[in-house]
Amino acid sequence: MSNLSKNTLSTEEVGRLLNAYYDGNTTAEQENALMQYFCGTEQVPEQYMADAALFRALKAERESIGKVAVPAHLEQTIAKATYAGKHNASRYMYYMRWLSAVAAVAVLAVVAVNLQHDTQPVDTVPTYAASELRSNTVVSPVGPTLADVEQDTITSAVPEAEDNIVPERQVAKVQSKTPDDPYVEVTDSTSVTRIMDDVLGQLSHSLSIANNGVRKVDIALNMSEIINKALKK
Amino acid sequence: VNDKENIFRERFMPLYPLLYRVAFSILGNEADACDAVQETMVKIWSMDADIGSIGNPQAYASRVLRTTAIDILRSISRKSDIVTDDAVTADLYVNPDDVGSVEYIRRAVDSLPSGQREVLKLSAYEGLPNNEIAAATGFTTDNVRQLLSRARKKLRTVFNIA
Repeated sequence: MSNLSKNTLSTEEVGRLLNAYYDGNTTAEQENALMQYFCGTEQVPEQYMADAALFRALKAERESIGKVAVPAHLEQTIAKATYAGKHNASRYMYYMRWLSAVAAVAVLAVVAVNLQHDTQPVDTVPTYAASELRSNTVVSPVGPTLADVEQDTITSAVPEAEDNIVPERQVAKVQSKTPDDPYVEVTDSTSVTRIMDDVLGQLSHSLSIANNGVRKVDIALNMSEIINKALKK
Repeated sequence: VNDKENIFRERFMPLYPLLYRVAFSILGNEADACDAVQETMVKIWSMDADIGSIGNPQAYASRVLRTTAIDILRSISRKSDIVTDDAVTADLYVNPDDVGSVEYIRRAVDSLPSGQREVLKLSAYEGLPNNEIAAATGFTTDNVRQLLSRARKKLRTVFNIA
């Protein structure tokens, strides 16, 4: 619309455009034409003086906004709120997750080793029980079995009795096949009771260590959760 | 992630001075304008869609910014506005002695009811057509036209008495 240049706007056209302007019906191009007219023409007709003052003020404000200094910190603030901050946070989270996982595995490993070490005597309970059983009831088998042949120390340790009667409170016959072999047999019920007491004591000790381990894992997991929450904030 | 970061830094970060001035024209102060720009950038950075597929980053970012700035302006207005949009004849808080200064038009515009103030700023300072003002503000184009009409007529009165 070349007829909207300030040189060609007649007073009537200005009046018509102003009416459209105050009705909210002008296009951006028509508003620019009015702006150019009022800001480029010194001799504005008397009836348009207020309109000219308004357009000049709006133009001055528009230009002053264009000169507004951008705060120096803004770029850094945006970077931290987007790619820079995000990256750092995710990297930190990544390392912290790995650290938490490694810590949890380490605690579990320590607990597992302790349990394995402390519960080893428990494995001998059936052995004690079996030996107790054998010593009371099957001390002298009717016929030799393969086990009896292999464990000749047992049968040789127990004196042969024709009527299969084993003296009560017999002195414990504890023997080991080899010095390193944890396998032992006890035929005395007093010793068995003492050993069972030991075993139960050790079992109780193992359970308390296990309980302690579980508590440590619990603390580690809680710490991990607290760290994760803090990082999310 | 690296591609996204590169695209963001190359295509969107250079827009922040322009976005700041648009935000300043709507909000009128540094703190709120900074908030609007930062919020806009975070919205773009956090969007699920591929930011590399945005054909015109400036137009897109400007649209997001205008909506964000208008939201901030409204939250401020809710706390302070006591004048309704229908109050066409309400007094604008200007001092006739300042008529030639930028402060005069600024005070007059800031004294407008919030809806009128929003559409007038987008029209006068951003040069947006009515349909884009409607998109930014959520008003219908007819509402935009009515609000613009009231705002302009009201502003003219403060220059008529000057």
